[in-house]
Amino acid sequence: MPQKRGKPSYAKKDAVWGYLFVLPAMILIAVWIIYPMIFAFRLSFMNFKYLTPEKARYVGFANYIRAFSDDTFKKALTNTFKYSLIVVPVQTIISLLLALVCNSRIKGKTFFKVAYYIPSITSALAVGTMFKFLFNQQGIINRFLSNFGFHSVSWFEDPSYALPLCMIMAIWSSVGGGMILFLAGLQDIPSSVIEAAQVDGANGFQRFLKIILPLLRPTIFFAVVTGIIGTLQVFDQAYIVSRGSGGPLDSTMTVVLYIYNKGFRTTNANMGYPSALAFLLFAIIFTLTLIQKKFFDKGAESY
Amino acid sequence: MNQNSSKINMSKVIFYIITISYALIAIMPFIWSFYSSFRTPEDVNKINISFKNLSMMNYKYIFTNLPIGRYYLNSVIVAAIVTVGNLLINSMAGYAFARLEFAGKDIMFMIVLGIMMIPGQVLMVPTFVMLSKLNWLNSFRGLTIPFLFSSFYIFMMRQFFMSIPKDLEEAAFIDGMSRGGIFFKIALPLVKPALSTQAIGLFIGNWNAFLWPSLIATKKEWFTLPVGLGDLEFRYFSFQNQVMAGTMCLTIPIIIMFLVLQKYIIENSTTSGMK
Amino acid sequence: MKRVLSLFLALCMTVTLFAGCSKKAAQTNQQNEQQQQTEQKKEPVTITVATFSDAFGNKWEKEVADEFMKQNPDIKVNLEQYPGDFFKALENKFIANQAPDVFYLDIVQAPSLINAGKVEPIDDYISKYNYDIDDIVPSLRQAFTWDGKLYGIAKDYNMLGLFYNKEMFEKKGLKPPTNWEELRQCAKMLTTKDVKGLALQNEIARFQPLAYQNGGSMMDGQNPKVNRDENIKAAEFWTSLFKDGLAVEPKDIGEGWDGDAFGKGKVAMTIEGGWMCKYLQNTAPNLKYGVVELPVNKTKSTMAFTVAWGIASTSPNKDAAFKFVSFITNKDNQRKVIPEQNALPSRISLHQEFKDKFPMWDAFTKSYEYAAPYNYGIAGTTVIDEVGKALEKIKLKKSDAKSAFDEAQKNIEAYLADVK
Repeated sequence: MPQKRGKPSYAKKDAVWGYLFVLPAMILIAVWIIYPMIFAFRLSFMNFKYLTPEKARYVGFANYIRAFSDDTFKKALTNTFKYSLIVVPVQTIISLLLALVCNSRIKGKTFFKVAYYIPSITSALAVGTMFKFLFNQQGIINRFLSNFGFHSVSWFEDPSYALPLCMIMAIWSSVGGGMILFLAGLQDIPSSVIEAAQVDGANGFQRFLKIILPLLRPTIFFAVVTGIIGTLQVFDQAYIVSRGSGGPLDSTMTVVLYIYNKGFRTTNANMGYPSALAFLLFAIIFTLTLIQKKFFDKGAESY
Repeated sequence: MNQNSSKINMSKVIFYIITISYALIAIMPFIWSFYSSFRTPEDVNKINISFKNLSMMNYKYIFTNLPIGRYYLNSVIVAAIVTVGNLLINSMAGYAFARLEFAGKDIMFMIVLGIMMIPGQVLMVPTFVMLSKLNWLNSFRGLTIPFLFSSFYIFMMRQFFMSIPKDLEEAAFIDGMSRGGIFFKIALPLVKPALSTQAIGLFIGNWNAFLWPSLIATKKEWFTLPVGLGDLEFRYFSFQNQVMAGTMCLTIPIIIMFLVLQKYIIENSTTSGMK
Repeated sequence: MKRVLSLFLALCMTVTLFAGCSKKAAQTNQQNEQQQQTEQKKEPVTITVATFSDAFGNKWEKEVADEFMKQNPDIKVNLEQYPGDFFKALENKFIANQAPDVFYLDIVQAPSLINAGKVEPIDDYISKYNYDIDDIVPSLRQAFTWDGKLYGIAKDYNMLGLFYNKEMFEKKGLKPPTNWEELRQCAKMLTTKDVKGLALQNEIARFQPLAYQNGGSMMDGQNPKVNRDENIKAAEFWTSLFKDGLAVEPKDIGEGWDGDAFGKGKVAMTIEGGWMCKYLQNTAPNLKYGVVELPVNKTKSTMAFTVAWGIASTSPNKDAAFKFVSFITNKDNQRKVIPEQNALPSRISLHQEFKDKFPMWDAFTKSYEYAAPYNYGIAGTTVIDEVGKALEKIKLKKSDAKSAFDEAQKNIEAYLADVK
């Protein structure tokens, strides 16, 4: 915490520069996010339809209370947490490994960097088509798995496999972006340290744990926090796999997909309930982020 | 000794096998899309690989039926403005949150973080209404100004500014340099890798953006490239070969852009901090 | 700390006020515009026409609009093409009070817009301008009628038919099925190790005709009623085709939709719309296939997908708007879209011309008399989602047909209670 440290003599003028530097961002945020957010927050206490606002009425906390007895919402919440719990660690670890590979003395660095990054810029349509091709009942993945005695499963159709499919898709397409982030983070570490700690055996791995990981702390904190924020709002993958329905049998229903289906799939729907769900999700993510910040801050006074 | 070195060789081989196979998995869909974009509608859905009947006809179709030059121009202008604006605004805010002391900093930073946590869907309609009231639909103002900041990158820049040593900045301060000067002349050059990361992410994000541009542009002369290419997907079905060719028109420029920028992420280590 | 917070709140409030002001400004602007319009009657009026953005349709619309302006120099047509999610874009335009004068009125979205009072009934204009509405397919007129008033003139339409692979049928000496029993028999005979009898998309947009063929209906007046016994029995028959291994969903065999599964010869039959003819012509030019009317059970049925031209109730130039709608739906202009082979013209008098050009569509031109529209009142999308979910549950054996449809009806009613 800043108060604990002694303030240097130049700190006074910093306040002016501080406000100056954050002003453009804060004005844009106020206009384009906070203002519509206040509007949406008001809606969460109403029964409100955009096309017929004259019929709007306040309903108090009814929308929030309704969420607690909504089984589909609970299911969506469970799915979303499962998704986040798997995707965040896996994508962080793979991104970091890819970054280490590209930062090592490997031959053809540029090729690897481009190859690993390409999934992040491949169109969702191509990715969707490929996954349909790979993961259908007679697809390559099933044929491969059958060599090891697994039964062939219909990934898109089976309620127990559709969510894992979303996870695989998400990880596949997000690790490239994470790799770029960690590559930038690794640049702040002198190359001699990195070379010494290259993954080339147990010793190297230990050095990696003791030297590189602590130095990457701010980047990892960033990756994990934004990873959790992003995955708890997962929409695209669930939408692609289920074609928007959240099926089969709500197994790919996520919170944001549910919000979308409640408020935006039908013309002139009641916006009060989806708005309330959005603020419930907001409260959950906000709490989790505060906890993480505490956790990371505790481990590193210097940041 | 001998045993040890053969062990290292073995692990090197495994290392290369893993890294190369993952690279292949990663680029396969792209290669397949690229290949499909030259196929006929009859062949495009087949799994076999054949180099017969490949042609430029899908590209010809796109370039003759869509005002694609206009789409490219719009996309380049929008992505360039948004990227440059973001680089400046996010880096300044990120630096302030990392280095400067001012009242309300923590609250403002929590706001920056907090707004990432609200599902954008619920803000869509009120924002759209604002844009229409301002008469910003079908204009560069509407396509750029609401997108000139990013919580994600403000946060990222804060983390990067935190991780560089303070010594250089403090020395410059004693030499009488102002905070503004320190930021532009000393701090920013130290985080060049982060700036490249930001530039790549922002440019690509905006280059591919579909949802908002499709709401803001309701006349063809204001379509960006992804919005215009959406026309290839018809109401009831689409021809994969044409869609794939469209995807290539969208993707190849950014791969080139990535190839140019990625150098700065890696090869700038000499200018980065810790000397 | 507090000071900054209050500063920030003040900033937020200024923004709110600012937005409030601009709202007022926009209103007075609008009033001014209207005044100007009444003052200078001689000046041409401008009507905005909003359509889907696509690579073909927009060219035709532009040609028609140019011709229209030539014939009506007092009316200027401003064409807009909404990309992406058209329904969302149109709804947003209405919300922002910037609705186009003329727009595509989609059959699923129409009841919600009409119920919110956003669409102008056109009966008066039809008699005023003597429009030959009788030539428009009756079920398409029915589809855009709400509380006894007509709200749109159908642009064109598509229906479902049974597509069958001629070679496979000839090899087994089979004839295309005409009733449910034959459908099942054919599917059974044609199912082999590599080929399934039928590709079916397990959703209301393919299943509904069977419910109606069984004497059922999805509606009770203007409200959905999906859990009728006839519908449930039909759903049992439909899902039994999956359970007995005679039918598959395209995604199960790695295909995006029926068109690919059928085009590649992975299935012998499928239930699809007329649009598939053009797709097959391009993607499977050597495939020998035929299209027949859907099999019959108690009665005949198919379903109609359509889009109409609607006029906004807020439009200040409704007469000009109607003139445009009447021009773009006249026989000459409708004829111009025939070569595209995307959909049937909504004019009965053009069916023969269409069939002569594209014989494959013969079955479709026969079935318009008994087509039920893809229209479920103001809960449209909810009905589509809930019935889809019910069909999925039955197929996956998670529920019997009755309780699945009862649950769907319950959820639809809950939705209706929420929006009423």
